[in-house]
Formats: sequence, structure tokens, C-alpha cells
Amino acid sequence: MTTATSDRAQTITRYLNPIIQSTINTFEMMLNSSAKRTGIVLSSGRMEGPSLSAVISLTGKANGTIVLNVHNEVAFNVFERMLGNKPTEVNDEVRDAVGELVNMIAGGAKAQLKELELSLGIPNLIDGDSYALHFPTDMERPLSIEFTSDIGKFTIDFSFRDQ
Amino acid sequence: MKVLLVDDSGTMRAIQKRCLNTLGVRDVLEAADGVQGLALTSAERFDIIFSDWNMPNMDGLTFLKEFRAANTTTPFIMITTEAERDRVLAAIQAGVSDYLVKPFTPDALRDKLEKWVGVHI
Repeated sequence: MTTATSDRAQTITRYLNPIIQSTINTFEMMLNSSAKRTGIVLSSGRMEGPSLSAVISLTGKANGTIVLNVHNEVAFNVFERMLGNKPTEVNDEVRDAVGELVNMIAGGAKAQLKELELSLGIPNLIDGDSYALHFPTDMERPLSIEFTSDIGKFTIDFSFRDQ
Repeated sequence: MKVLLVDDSGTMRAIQKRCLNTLGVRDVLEAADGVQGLALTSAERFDIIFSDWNMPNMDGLTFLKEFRAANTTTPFIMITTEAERDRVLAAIQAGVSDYLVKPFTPDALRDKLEKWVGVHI
């Protein structure tokens, strides 16, 4: 393994484990849902079918982005677990719920990366039938962590750049 | 028991309110930021306040400082994803009573109520 490849692997691992752990913890505590990581792939950034993505930035001694991608049905399940009633369409409340989820996931990851002194941005929401997310070209190529859970499948995309 | 929830996320307020209702607490008022929170605390008396940290217009720390200038006794619980040492110290200096770090369980919310209001639910 070259030094550059080794460095990149270390950078990915540094962020990967806190994000996975925080995601599992957040789903358990806020949704009473057991999430399980099923794979890690390069992110295509594409969402096909009615979907919703919550994007949050982290800045400090590193800069990064974490994205929670869910299909609408999973977003409805998230809302139902949080608030007890199941919506039938994506509205401001559903967007707010998914935004809060990514906020908590990023906050939990941040707490495990104290040395980077990260600050969270405000979650931004994207929804539609088919769309693509594009990360800045000067960031590490984004990875997509695939999860399964009792409320459906979802992915967490992330990319970071050390300062 | 009268509770004030301050959070810019309607979802988070709804989650907390749902938890409180489950615990039998019905008198719950809501504010979307520190400005609204201050307006409510100047007009009403609350047994406990739960406030988010990161909010537009006026954040939770500023709200806490402004509130403590007029009221030093009402329990003020910061609900936040922020739990770093520097932030904790800033909040303690400003007079925060306790912390609830997101994500949290309904049991954690109940524990704070029991601890600070002295009501066993």
C-alpha cells in the first residue's frame, strides 16, 4: 500500500467509525430502531425514486459533509417513530424530522472527533423523484454507508478534508 | 406543572411535548427561539425550561443569560447535541441547571423532570 493510499485509508477510518456508531445510536435512541451497517461503497450521489436527503456541514480543523438519504417511505416511518402518526406526503414536518435526525447523527460523530473542534451547520433538505448530490471537488471522494433497519434501508454519505 | 420548550425545530418540540404528555404533563408552552422564549418567560412563570442551543435569532446560551438576569431559580435544562467542555463551561457560567444531550430517550427527559422539579412520575 502506498503512503498516499494508507493516509487516505486512515482518514476514511477516522470519520467512518464515529459516523456509523452515531447513526446506530441515534436510530436506537430516537426511533427505537436497530440499524445495521450492510456495506460501504463509493457514493454515486444519485437518488432514484421519491426520496429525501438531509445535508449538514461540519467545519473546524477539518471540513466535511454528512448526508442522510432516505426514500419517502422510510422518511414517513422516521416521522411515525418520532411523533406517532404516519404522514402520506413529504411536507415541512417530515423534512424537519429527517433534518433533526442528521443533526443528531452529525452531533454524535462530532462528539467522538473532539480533537477537530468541529461546528455543525444547519441541516439543508432536498427532496424529489430523482436527483443527484454533488460534493465539492476538493473534498475526499464521498463514501456511502449502507444501512438496513426495521423501518427500512437508508444510506449515509460523507466526505471530509483535513485542514 | 408548567413547562416551556424552546427549540427552532417543530419536530423536536413535538417529540418533547409528546414525552411530557405521556408523563402526564399537559401545561406545555412552546417557543421557536430565544426571543420568543424570553417573551414567554416575562409573561408567564414556568416550573422548568428545556431549551435547544443552536437556534436562529437568539441562541440557547444568550437566552439563558438573558433569562438568568431576571430569574435565578427556575431550572433551565439545555437540550443539545453540543457537549464539549468549553460549551459546558460557558453554559455553567451562564447558570444552566443541567444538560440533556441529543439523542435522548423519554426516560432521560423524565429523569430531568424528577430531578429538578421533584415530581416523581
